[in-house]
Amino acid sequence: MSATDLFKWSDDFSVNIQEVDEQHKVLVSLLNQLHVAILEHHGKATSREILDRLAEYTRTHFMLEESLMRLTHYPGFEIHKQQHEELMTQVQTLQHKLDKENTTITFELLHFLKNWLVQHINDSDKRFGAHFQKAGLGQYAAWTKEVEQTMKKKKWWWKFW
Amino acid sequence: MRQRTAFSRTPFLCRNNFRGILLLTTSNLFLWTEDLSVATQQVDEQHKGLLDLFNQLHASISEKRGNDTSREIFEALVESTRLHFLFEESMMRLTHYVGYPAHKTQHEFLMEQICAVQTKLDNETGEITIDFLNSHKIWWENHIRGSDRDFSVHYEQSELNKSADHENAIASEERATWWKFW
Repeated sequence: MSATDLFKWSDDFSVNIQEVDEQHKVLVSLLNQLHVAILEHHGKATSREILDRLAEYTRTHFMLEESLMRLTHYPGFEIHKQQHEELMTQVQTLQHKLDKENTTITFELLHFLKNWLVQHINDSDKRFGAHFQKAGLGQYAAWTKEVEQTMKKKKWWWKFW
Repeated sequence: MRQRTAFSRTPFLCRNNFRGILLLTTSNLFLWTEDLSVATQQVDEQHKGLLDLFNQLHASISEKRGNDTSREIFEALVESTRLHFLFEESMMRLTHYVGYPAHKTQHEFLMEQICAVQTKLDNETGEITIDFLNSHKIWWENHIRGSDRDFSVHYEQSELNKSADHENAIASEERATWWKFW
């Protein structure tokens, strides 16, 4: 956490599934990178690149969550999926605007993304986390030591993850 | 004998079983067959999507449709490969798969090959060759029949699979669009 961070991760955001938490941390980190890029005027191209990576990673992350919901017969699946789709549509519209019009990524937008993520984790994702436990999958709540080690020492050709 | 590329000389491919591998000719596509099926419908659908993009790329290059078209399909293939690998690796970490580090190394190997081609295309110092496509196809055949099958066995015994013995069918629209850009 530096003074310029937009979003400070804390364990209060945990949904009790480490794989999901770790992905949320990546999203938080990308949001913070975007914040710095705008704050320090790194230029349009840089902030656009971070936004695109954020969008791509979000898509991967949603795919995992939705897959787990489907596999565990989560009753809230449809509503949750709809929330994901609505966000992705908004991001897509933004990307389109950045392509076609002379608009820039604003602090307002950053705060919108941050607030969306905070609320989504605290309400929707935590509800799914509770369902995951109830479905008898508590043993998968945490990574194994081996996985932890692999994640620490592996090089990341996709820069994040 | 056909000259081998650096790609097909790698230790990983040499350790694998080469049975049943067909080299691509211009008319020879990478078709999905039931023996490529693994434990989850979702992964099967992703593999099918990748094969489809691969075939499009192959057609585009062999029919000389132009660099821009081929590059566009190639980028879609790269993006969906990345997305697919990220998804698979998530499921491996989640279900405590002991083969995860080795499997991840195989993914990294392919991504490195792909990134090398991307760099060449960016610098205009190379193009997507039929040799590259052949190696790519061989890699996938070995990988799905070997490593993905191994993970499949693990997954089938996992609690996650037991809790999902009646896996909900994936909506057809989702099946058709997961890899597309939005």
